[in-house]
Amino acid sequence: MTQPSITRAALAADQKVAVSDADADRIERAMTGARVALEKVLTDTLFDTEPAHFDRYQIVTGTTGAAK
Amino acid sequence: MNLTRMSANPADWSLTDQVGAMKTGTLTAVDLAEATLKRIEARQPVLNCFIRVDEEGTRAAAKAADARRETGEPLGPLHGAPLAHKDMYYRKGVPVTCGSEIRRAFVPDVTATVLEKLDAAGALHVGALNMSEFASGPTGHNEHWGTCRNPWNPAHITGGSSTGSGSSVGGRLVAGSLGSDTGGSIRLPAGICGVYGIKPTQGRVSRHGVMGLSFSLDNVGPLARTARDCARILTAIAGPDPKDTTALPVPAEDYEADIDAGVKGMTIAIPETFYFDDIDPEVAKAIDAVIAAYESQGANIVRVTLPHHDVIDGLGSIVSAAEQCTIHDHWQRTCPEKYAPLIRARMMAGYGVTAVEYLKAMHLRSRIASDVAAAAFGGAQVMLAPTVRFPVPTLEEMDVKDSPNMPEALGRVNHSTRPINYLGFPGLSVPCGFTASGLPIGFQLIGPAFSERMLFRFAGAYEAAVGLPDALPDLP
Repeated sequence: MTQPSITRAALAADQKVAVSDADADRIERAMTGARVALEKVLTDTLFDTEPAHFDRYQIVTGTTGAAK
Repeated sequence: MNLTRMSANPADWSLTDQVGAMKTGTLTAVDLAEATLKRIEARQPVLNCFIRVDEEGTRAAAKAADARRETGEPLGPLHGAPLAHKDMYYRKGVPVTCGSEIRRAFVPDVTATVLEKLDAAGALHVGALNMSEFASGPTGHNEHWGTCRNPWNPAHITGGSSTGSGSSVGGRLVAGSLGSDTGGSIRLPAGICGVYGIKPTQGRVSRHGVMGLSFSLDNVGPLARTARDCARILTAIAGPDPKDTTALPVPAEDYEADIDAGVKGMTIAIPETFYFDDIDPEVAKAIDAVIAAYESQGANIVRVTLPHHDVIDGLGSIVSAAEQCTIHDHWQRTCPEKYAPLIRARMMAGYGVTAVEYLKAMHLRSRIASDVAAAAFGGAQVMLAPTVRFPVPTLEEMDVKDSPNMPEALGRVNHSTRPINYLGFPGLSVPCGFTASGLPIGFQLIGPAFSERMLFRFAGAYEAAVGLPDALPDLP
């Protein structure tokens, strides 16, 4: 596994945005939960996903279902 | 039952009572406008909830409203009602600050669809309300326009980011307001300032002409003093909009229609997961009383375990961080010093998100929402949860700026509201009394997509059980 503290700070710095040490630390801490969440939930492939499911506006029209 | 009996000053009345009195002619729009402007003059120095007050425009609009009635023209559902909105709703030619320094002098060249709809419904617009800078922040601090204060105790936070909306409606300066909600920014100030506030279903209300923060999480919605007031404003603004393709093609409903229908035989789900974690005993006691009130109205209670709540906050953070950072990228590069340190720091997180992570988090939303909806609403019409799990903190306690513990401190405030934005569900915050120290407590009614009418039905049933909120804040 990569070292996320290096990866996240480097990712931000590579985008030519001023990133202080405090910023880098904060970004790392903020994204730790996110990384853990993705690791927990992504157990299957997205290879056969329908294009519409990647549309950001399919949240409620996708499979959520309407009110009874 | 109405709020009219409680005060001789019409500024204290509910919006629907104000409109009713103006339609029958027992109150003129001009008299209400004057009462409103006088109330603002007295309380603004304490609350700092307005960024701009349009006295001349308000008086002219009130005069025109009275003229419409005198000439027998049809009167709208918000006839003569003086409203004010978070300063992020664009009107062509009128400055809008977004609570920021960067947009201090910005003048838009479009008018928000929701403002046009409120105009058509007969509403007056008194001015622009304070807000967290760029709608980012759940407390109410603003380094550019001054901190907005809680009407029930000015030493305490209003909740954010619709700070002025919560403060002005709770403080009886205006009877209704549009806020915006990306992680709780309508429901938090509603709950913390003792009023109603609804985050509609994602896509229920047009966002054309509205400042964006996080384009797949942002929602426009009203705050008001009664369920009926809140429902009336939502009815006026909901529905598809050819200018905003993200406003879904689902016709608007009359959200007042079922408010008095009762909830006998209906079912409320109480989540045993996440939402009540570490709840303060005083807030828990108030929520228990809400549940008892619903049982007294014939509702059934079921306890449910919800899936995915160990990951929703993390996934929501990916979406929120990436989208905010995208919108603010230009200014983060060209003028980062113009942001308050807290806001700049919060928006930096998106630079640490990869494209693959963002798309995965987005792809999972619909699937996760479907699983949660099945668990929560498979055997119930709505779910009930606290809006905030602890008594309203002071401004000093929450003045975290860009300190190392900032993400965790702010995360405690919007713990129970943020997941609903990721899920896309509607959520209505309802006031349910006060702590021993006199600060408001609120609870959320949450439903499946497009269940707003049902949420207002449950809110109406709660009012029927306990009565309308009738306390008035101790202000000048």
